Amino acid sequence: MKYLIMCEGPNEKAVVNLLLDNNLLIFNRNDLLGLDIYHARQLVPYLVNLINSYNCSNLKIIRIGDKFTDKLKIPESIKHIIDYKQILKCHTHPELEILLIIDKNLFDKFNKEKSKIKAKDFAKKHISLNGHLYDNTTQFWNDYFKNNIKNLVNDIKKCKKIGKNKKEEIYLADLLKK
Amino acid sequence: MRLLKIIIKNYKLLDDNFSLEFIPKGRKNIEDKEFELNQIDDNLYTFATMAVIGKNASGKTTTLEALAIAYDILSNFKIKHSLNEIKNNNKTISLELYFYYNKYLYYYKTDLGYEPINDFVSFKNEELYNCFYYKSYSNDIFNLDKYSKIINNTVLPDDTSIIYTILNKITMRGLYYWSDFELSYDIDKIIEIYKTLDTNMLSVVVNLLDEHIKDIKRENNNKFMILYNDNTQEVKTKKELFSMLSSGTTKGLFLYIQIITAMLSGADVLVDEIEIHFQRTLIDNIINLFKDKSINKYHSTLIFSTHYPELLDLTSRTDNIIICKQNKKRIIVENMYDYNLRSDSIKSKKLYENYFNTAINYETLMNLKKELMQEIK
Repeated sequence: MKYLIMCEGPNEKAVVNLLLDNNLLIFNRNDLLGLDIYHARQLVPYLVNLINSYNCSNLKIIRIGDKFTDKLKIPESIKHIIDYKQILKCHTHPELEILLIIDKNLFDKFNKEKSKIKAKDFAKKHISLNGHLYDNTTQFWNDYFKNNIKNLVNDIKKCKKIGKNKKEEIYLADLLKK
Repeated sequence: MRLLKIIIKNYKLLDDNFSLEFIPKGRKNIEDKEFELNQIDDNLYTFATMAVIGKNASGKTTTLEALAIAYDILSNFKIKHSLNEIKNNNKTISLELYFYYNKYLYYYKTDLGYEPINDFVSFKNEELYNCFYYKSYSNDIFNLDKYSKIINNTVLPDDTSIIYTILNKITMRGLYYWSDFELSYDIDKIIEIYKTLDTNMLSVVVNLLDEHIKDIKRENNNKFMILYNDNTQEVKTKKELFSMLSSGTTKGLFLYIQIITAMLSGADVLVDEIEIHFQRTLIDNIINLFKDKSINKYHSTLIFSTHYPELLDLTSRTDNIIICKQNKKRIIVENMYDYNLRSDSIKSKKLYENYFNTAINYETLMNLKKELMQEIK
């Protein structure tokens, strides 16, 4: 079994990489197709090429993101390899920044304002590290959590508790080692 | 250093308007930035891979040779590897290069003429210009109005380019793999590079190319220990080793060594007819290595010519595909981007449909069959 991890944005990729490097996920690097996590919304030629080289139907595709506006298109050449039941959506509802908001104990405050402000913008306004406000960069995510992995794990778990994902969607917490 | 554009005149049959750009013309989406393009500065990108296609005798190899001349100068500041090509060219070649180096854009022009008495190529009428790169220039980087001439008082030998004054260090900035790979000559080259690389990496490459061999260890200059997968071993001389290895393994070894060298140094790699000697999975793997940001950290570009339409589907872009054609005995190059294909078009299908006028004429094929039928009668 191999996992193909497709993140919608670079920040999702940074977070999953942090968890992976700290051996906190249900898979390790050897379990990943191409030994890596990818920032890709669709199966671009690079990934199709990779799937072809694996040439095995024992593949789980996990899409991580907060939008999933596009349906995942499966190119004709790999349709025989892909098992549609093995394509999972890992929803970081409402946006990945909810992790930062939870971490700073600002969830209740955000909850009161969420009809007026998106989680990303709320984070840009209220979350800072060493005097620098959140700027939506992978650098910020890495700096924020690299020495604080336990907090990240706890935030991910809390996020599931308060989450409102659809039945068929999984949470980041579901990817954590038990 | 990253080559951005080449313009060459009077080289073999290349048309006088021959120019090639290494920067994207089309829109750059998130996935392209992740896989298809190398970011060399703020909003300045080059391609991770480029393909050169065309019929037989359409000028693919000549196009790569022209690039090899540019890389020869950018690597050695002399014409070293391309000497024969220039020697056999009747006219003085006029070459213009745009390249990026250390936050600056450079424009360089020179004439290249072979000096029979001294057996070297001299650089004449050289000029060098530069400008600091700003993000706002990204859509107009070849506009010479922004550049200023570099006045250089360094006196160099006639066979040395003034690019030396900028790049200083001789190092391979372009590596070439030609389809007419001469085995007897290149064995020594392989061995030389082999010496410099990490042995673990090489054993992985050897095993990838020949699953019966676990490792090849160098004992001394002429002796090699071959370790087989069944744990037997043999000592072979250099000559015995290369006559034992399959032609594909030797060539694969050479190409992979070049690719590893490129990944470690940032050199670009030119491969003529990439499909020759290699199975498809290996070619796919080679192309993916250049697109892999965790491996291709120094922004190398793989530039390959091919007759395999399917390889074009390995890229989601069209502006990194160069189509060579002959028109009135002149080689012209077109960019697939200028054909305005729909984004969901399958490029290999278009090629089979002769959309780019690159297919071999049916009548010509049938003429051969007719002749054969007659002869056999």
